[in-house]
Amino acid sequence: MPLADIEQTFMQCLITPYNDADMFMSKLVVAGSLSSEKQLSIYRSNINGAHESVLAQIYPACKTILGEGYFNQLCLLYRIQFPSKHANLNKYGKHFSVFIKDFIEKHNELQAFEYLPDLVLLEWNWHAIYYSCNDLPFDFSLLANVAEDQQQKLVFHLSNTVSLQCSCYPVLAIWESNRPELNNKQLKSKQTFEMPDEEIHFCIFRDNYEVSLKELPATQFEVLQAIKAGQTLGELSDRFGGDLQPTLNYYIQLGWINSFSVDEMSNVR
Amino acid sequence: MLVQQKQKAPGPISGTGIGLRSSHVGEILMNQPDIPWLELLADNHMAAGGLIPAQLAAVCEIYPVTFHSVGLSLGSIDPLDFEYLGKLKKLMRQHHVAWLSEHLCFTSVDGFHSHDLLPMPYSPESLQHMAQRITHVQDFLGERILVENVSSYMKFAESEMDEAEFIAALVEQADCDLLIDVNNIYVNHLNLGIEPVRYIEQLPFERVREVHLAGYEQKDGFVLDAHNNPVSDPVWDLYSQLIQHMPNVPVLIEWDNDIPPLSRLMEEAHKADVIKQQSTQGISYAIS
Repeated sequence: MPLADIEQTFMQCLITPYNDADMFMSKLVVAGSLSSEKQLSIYRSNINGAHESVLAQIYPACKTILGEGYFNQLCLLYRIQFPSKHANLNKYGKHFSVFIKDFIEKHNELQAFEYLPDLVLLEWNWHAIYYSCNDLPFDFSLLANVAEDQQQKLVFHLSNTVSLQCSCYPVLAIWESNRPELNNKQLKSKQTFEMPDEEIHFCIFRDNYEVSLKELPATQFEVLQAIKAGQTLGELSDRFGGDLQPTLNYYIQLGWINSFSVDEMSNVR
Repeated sequence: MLVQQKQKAPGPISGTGIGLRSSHVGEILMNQPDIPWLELLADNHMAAGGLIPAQLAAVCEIYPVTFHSVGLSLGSIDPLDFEYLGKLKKLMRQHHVAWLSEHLCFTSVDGFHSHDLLPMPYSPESLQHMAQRITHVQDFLGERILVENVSSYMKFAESEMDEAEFIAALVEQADCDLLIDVNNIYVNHLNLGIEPVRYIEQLPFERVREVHLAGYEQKDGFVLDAHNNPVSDPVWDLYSQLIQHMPNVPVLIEWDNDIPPLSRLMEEAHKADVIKQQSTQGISYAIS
């Protein structure tokens, strides 16, 4: 059997663990005390363990809420549906929120966990921001050089170290109550939480290596969302009026807005 | 504070070093313990920004450092990942990393990544394929890499040579160097029945630039190269035999799971030094 076929069938046995592996196992020989079935099962088990471990590190609150056994079952199903396609393990698990949402929709017994996709997305954003690119501070001297007739076309950019999220569930309270690193003595997974009257808005950001979370007023969140969507300064002014200037000043100072571009002139970093 | 005042200039890789894991980085930077060199898992330090790259820079200011990677997939039939290689090369140049080691295995195929070290058949086709890939990697990096023998739980009918023969032929064809993991030899002895002493005797000692020591875990019907235990007595014995052939080769203690305090790893490193000294002075080592 050519090397290519061996590698491909081996990988298929690993990423689709329920499929028939007889063809691949016929290419193995008994070694020491290990039968061909045992040989393959060791690799399947190792890979499950490695992927479970990565997802457990990224999604500790989700694991606390679901319990280890259920969480690990979901990890296996996720791995089958979304096999890793990147050498960097830090990028594995990005679609867990989408996967959980789909899974809950298909399983009526999980309706009480309908907040979970938002919580999982929060945990992913936290993880991604920890590893995201460093950004330079806003360059005010470049801003001063923008011609007056170009100012309305100016587009601000959010820092790579900032991630915006909103939810109609009390995910911040649920998250705080189920983070093992903060509550390792008394986890509160059975606690009940009141639904918020309105959608909650928050930002996950990194400052001096530390990742933090900040709840935002609705208007400020909308300004930042509009900036993220690429709206020009003119469009922002029309939409937010007098609320815009203080919001821009504040988030430029914080470093959440860290660059801008306007037609050919750009200081995007 | 992330970085302490630089206390000493990084020197050459010699003596017994320690595989640095994230749980010890703070202590390493704060106390700068007397460890001759550190090996870092390159894949864990390829973050785009934040604390990880800053820690890497700080560690490399103080200690001589080597890189150990798991993502090159040297045996894969997929094209080499030059984006990954480019990042590795940049980090190595930036931080004066002494060398890069990788594993004799594949980790990805058809774009799928297993994140585990998957063995290959020891066939002429595998040999030619892997030698060619190592050559490309070395050409790209502009230096030799070290290839490590892996612990394996699988034996292919396609294999036409044993692992030691394969390795000897590979370093010849690829003109690469070797990292010999003594625990992996012993794990393969227990699981696959390879003869460890004969294995060691077949190695091209002049190509070995690094030796790894680690602990395994007894599982149901096999042993797992789990790096979660002290080095076992039989592995110390094998190490004692191996090191007689190459007394100046740097040695590394690896401990990746259930990681103990740094002081425990330093004790293990000290034991490796003592055994090396006794073995190379013709004094037989009695297992305690």
